[in-house]
Amino acid sequence: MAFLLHFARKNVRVCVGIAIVLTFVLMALIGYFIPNIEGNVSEAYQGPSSRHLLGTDYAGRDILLQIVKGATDVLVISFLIALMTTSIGVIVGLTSGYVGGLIDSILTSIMNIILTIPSMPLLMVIASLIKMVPNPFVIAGILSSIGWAGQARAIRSQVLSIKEEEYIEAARILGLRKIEILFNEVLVALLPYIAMNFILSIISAIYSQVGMYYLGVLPFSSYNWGMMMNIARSHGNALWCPSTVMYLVGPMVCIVLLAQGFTMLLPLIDLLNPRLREE
Amino acid sequence: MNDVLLQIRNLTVEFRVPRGILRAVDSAVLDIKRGEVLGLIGESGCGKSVLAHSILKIVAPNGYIKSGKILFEGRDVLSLSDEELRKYRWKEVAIIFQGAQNSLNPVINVKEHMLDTIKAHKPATTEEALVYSSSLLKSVWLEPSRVMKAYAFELSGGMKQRVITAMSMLLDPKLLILDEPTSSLDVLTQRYLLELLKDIHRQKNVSMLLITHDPGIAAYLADRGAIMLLGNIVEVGSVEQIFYNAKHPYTRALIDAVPSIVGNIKVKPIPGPLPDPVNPPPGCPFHPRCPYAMEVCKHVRPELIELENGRQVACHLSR
Amino acid sequence: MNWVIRRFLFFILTLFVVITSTFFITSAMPGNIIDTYVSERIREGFSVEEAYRMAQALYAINMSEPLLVRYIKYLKNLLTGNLGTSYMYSGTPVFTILIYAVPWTVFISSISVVISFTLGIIQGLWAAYSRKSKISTLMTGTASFLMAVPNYVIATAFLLVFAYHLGIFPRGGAYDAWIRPGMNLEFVASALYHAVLPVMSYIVATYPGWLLLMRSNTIRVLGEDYVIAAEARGLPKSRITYTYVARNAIIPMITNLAISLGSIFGGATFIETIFTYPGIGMFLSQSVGAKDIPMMQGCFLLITVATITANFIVDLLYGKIDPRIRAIR
Repeated sequence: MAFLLHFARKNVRVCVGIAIVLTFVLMALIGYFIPNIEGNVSEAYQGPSSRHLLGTDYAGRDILLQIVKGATDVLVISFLIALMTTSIGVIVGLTSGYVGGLIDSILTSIMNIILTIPSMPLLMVIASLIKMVPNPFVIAGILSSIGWAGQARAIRSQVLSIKEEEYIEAARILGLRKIEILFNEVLVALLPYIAMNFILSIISAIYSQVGMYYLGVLPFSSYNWGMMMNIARSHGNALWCPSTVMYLVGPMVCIVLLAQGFTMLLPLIDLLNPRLREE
Repeated sequence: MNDVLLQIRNLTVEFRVPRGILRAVDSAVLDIKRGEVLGLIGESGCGKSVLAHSILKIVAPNGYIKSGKILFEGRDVLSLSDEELRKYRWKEVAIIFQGAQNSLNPVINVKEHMLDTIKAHKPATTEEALVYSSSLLKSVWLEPSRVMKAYAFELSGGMKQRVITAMSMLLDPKLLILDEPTSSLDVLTQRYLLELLKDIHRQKNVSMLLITHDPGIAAYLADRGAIMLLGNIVEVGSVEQIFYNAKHPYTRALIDAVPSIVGNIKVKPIPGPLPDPVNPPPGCPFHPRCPYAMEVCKHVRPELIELENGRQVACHLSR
Repeated sequence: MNWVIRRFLFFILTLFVVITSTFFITSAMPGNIIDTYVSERIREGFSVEEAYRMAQALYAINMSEPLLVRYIKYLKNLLTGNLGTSYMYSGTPVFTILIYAVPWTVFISSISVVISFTLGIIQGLWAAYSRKSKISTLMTGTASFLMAVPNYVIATAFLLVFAYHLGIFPRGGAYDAWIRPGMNLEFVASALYHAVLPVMSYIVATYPGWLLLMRSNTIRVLGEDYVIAAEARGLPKSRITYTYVARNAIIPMITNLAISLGSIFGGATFIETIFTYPGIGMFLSQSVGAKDIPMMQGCFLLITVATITANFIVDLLYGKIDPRIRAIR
């Protein structure tokens, strides 16, 4: 217990980050169990009140409830994207860096081609042409189809530099098989790096996912924060009508807070890395 | 006295470190005469570099000069204005840093370095400056036509060291400070550089403050030597006096600790760990490791007193 | 020389991949828009041939021809600048729309990048020099915070506050609709007035990154031996700051600047859409929403080809700036 308090005092930022992320995760859990939100048109465009903490939108629905439900969407999809891009990125990067040769050349060329093409327009075009289903896996899949390349390239260069380290040479001399070296030494050395990349890809997944909903490229799913912003701007009159401005501003604040929360978590990785531990 | 160029009086320099306040230089007193080579000898971390850098009023960002005076030809360097200080630097006193290879700006070539230095102090035309710089490069046995347009990454370690040596003499300073000039060089280049320095001293009669942890190098170049321990000057004397007739136990221990190629091969290292500079022991800084320590040594810090024939010692034994 | 050739080949390869895959995605994939359009028309009561004819007229694609023939036609069209006809802007050639849109995008993007970079390095340098002061800490903290805010949130906030609530700046468009475009003062003034909010959004979204980068680079350089040596040589402060500190601090950032310049065409999509600024990004968004294939294809190709080419040119130029890179290559 005392250890936790000591830890908290020395790393305030990390603890704030954990608190923020946990709050949103809680929100997402609650949001999962909220049924479809109905609205009473007679209550439309109401400002914040004791009944509706953030007011109501153009259809009379409570804005706060929508945000909470949106959290589920955002977090689930972001997590899926991060999972997919990191897994593919690690597999491709590891293979490319460790095996080398022709496979490396081919994979690197593919990575470089994907990375040279501007991602936002590419994602927009892909998303618009594939039959859209509001299934989080499909959506996450589309957004991951490009994202893995950046991770793969970063992991590949890390693998290349680890390969040169002396303890790998030592392991080889000791007679360990290549596969053993791969898993026991190289992968272990990569773990802090992979963890950091995972968190970073969650953050970028939040941005790109919400952004694409905001532009209207992803299928209509009324609770995603990006979708809320989209509707708020176009039909919801949040720009004109001050009482319902929370329809637009609420999701924006949540996006910023959530992204900040995850950003503050990053030093946690350094804390857990045995090589960097100062004590 | 007209033949004294630099007088350091009770200089104290401290640093703010996570563990507390580190006193790197503790009421140091030192004189440098005109035209002499003074060796400043001591173990790593004893404050010799800090002392030397203070002469140019260069202190690390977390450090500060707490008290004391540094009189160069009578004027206190520490109370000069910014502009006076800028003019004093390099023109009166120049320095060659330890590991000087990194003293060159990577994005400009040698010619620009020379021009920068000259134009900052003298209203010379570019031609005059270039001619003068070339002659200096020649005097350190470098070929100006090749070196002047070279960038730092194109020069070898030894070449960079010579460029920096040439640059240090650019304004004919009265005092040249050499901070461990041979530390990152191989033995042959070391010898080469020492010969070069001796040559410069002979030709220009410039005073030199040679900082080193190797008494052998001091013996080769210096006329007089000063021994430093934990920020204190503990002995000053001529090179012969220090080597053959040291009065301070620490000096004797230092000389004995250096292995010699001829004669006695037995090495006597100084026993005990280096004391902590953030929490130095009271009294004499050497008493925990001194074989002759007396009771008074543990409580009273010995002052630097002047003995006959210009020697100075800070030891209770020499009263 | 070897390196230049390799880089050029990669450039050509990427171009080829982009052009070909655009073709396949838009007209050859199963379940694509053509089929959707045709099936919808069939449901409405048109016959199969009529439906295909309508699709062909609209999308300029003849589905009955074999794939390869269509591909070659596509390539030929590209070379002659025939990018099809827009569906949304009934009958207007895509090429014409793009010609109109490109100057606007280049206008705000280039101003934004230049101001953002310059501001960032000046403030970053200052922040590093005075890093013990409270203002500097505040600036650094704000910059870190802003880095985590996506550019569309910033743009929306600007739109909300300055255009709607305070009404100081226009809500959209590149210039007031009643002014004749031309080299007259009214037009230029109006164009600048309308450019303020988009440019400000871009700057606020990107300059914290430059600031933090320049600050950390400068702090690193300030600790280098050659800076202390320069002080010991009695060089004037201004010379040290510019030639010894700033130049060394900026050099690692040139790659980043190159990437930013390369993405002048593609990076402004969000900002243009939010401010309804008639640049390529906005037309791309619109065409995606309206499923206007030729327009979408045209915008996408333009953005991508321009970005790839810009990256290639900048890559070539980079070697000229840093003498060390030249030596390595």
